[in-house]
Amino acid sequence: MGLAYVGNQNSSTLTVINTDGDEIVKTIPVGRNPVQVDTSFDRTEVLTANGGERSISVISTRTNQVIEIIRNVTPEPFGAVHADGKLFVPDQFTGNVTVLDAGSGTLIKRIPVVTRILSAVLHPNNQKLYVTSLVHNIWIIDVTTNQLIQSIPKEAIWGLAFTPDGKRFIANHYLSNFAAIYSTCTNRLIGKIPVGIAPIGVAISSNGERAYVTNSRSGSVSVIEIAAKRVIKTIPVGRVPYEVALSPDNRKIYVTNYGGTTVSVIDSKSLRVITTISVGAGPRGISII
Amino acid sequence: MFKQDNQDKQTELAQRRLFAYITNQDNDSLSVLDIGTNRIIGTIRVGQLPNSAAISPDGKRIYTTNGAGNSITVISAQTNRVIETVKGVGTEPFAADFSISRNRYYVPSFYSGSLFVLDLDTNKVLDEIPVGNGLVGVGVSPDQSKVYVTSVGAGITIINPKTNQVMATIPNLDSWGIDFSPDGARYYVNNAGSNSVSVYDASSNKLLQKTAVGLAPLGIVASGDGRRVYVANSRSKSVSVLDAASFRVLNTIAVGSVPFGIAITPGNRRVYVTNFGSNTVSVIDTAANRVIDTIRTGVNPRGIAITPPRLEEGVNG
Repeated sequence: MGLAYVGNQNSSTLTVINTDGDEIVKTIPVGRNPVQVDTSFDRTEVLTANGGERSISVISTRTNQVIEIIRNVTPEPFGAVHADGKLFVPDQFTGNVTVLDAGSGTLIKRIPVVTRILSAVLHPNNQKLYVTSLVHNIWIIDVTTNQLIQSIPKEAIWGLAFTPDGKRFIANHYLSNFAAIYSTCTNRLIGKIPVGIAPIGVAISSNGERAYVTNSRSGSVSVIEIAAKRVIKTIPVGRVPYEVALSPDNRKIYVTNYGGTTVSVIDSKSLRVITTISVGAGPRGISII
Repeated sequence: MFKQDNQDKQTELAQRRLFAYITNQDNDSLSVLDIGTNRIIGTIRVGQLPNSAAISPDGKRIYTTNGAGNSITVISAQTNRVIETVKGVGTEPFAADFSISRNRYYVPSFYSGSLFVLDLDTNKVLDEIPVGNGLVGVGVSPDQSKVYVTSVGAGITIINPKTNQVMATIPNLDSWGIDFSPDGARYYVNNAGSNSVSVYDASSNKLLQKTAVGLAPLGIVASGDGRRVYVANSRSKSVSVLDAASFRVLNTIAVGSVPFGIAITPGNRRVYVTNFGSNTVSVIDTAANRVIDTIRTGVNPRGIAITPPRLEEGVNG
């Protein structure tokens, strides 16, 4: 059984969905205005970065209860990525990535990066954290040394996802309405795929064959065949689709419709919306375990 | 704070108190700050995550755009009570500005990528104009003949308020705050990503100058006397003071953490800046170019608006 954790930014709750039956298992109150939903390294915990409360809520995936609240993290936490025994917390307006000890929650470092940080994604080798920004560049942090080690010149990128082997990544060029495939090693552009308007979220199937991109202003999801570098289908979903995640068996794709109160569930075979689940208001982040 | 030369003038000013209205993003509230005493005299509950405050040019109403409420809260400046909560303004409304001559106000929504046009009397949405990805700011030109929308993606989009059609798009990536010289001859746009302010000629839309300021400038305000421009450098904990004629940086004033919104009093004597990361507002004396007061606000103060000059009299404070 898979469990999808959906952060409802405007209801300050986390909806837990059983991905087998697509029914809601529980609705958990978290801190104010959760943005990104992340999982701990061993997937026994879910973390919500509460943008409206300067805090991070830690939820046990075994009991689906809040087991800890880390407070006074940063003015507007946007995510909490667990790596190397630490939590990396981006904040869009301070432009810092705050590093906390994952066990104690104590502050280790603030890494100045760039204004309007939009996402932070861990490379599959668990050594590098890729940070994207609404203004420019992809910024890479070494999670062992907590140092900013590289900045790749690019225009604004929102969502970013790695292929399972880590050799490539897909980055959504939010301003120019395309998804791009890059070589992780050289950062060179391999393919440029026009999608819908204002692409935000991206997820890649575990066999590395497909990518799903949310087009926030088109209200749709583009399905990309990575090898062919083309969109094979565009699926209408709800208003302002934001993030996208796959069920553990990859049979279903879950899309948060941030401009409304639902999650669209897409069948990965027929590429159709098979159900729409009512969650809280402003569903934004999603993680599936 | 007022220097009066006669009793009549003093009485008149005493009757007209000036206020700063500050949105506390993470308290869902608006703080009302009395500029005469620099004390917070009231807090008004508004919609979720209020990210900006604007005051109508007649000074009668305050508007907060509520980023998570997807709404606008309209407040009476006389009673400090909520008059109405306006819905249907897209996902994450981000800012507001006014056209008194057209009796309208304009609200860009970040995720919708549209500019919403509302009626000032009825608060009804009259139009939704698609603009571009990631809209963050709006400014109506002093003569009210143009509406400027800033965005990270589409640059600066100029809209004709008569037709609600796009007149021009200026490729100025990473734009944030916008303001105008009081005569309308120039407009100023903050470049949040390249740490600079661009000065444009308003008739030709030609870039006249680009001046380096602090890191990630967000809020910008031009003084009503046309002499200065003030910029909040969100990642440098500072405010840059620019000479509006030469567009050189005259001073850099240290303020709190993540200075965000910025506004000036009608008489140009004080500049107020919200420190998003410090939960304070810094008060800058514009003659001395230094912070003379720091006032505690709610959590994550972001937007700010100050009582405007009287419409019929111009500058008075």
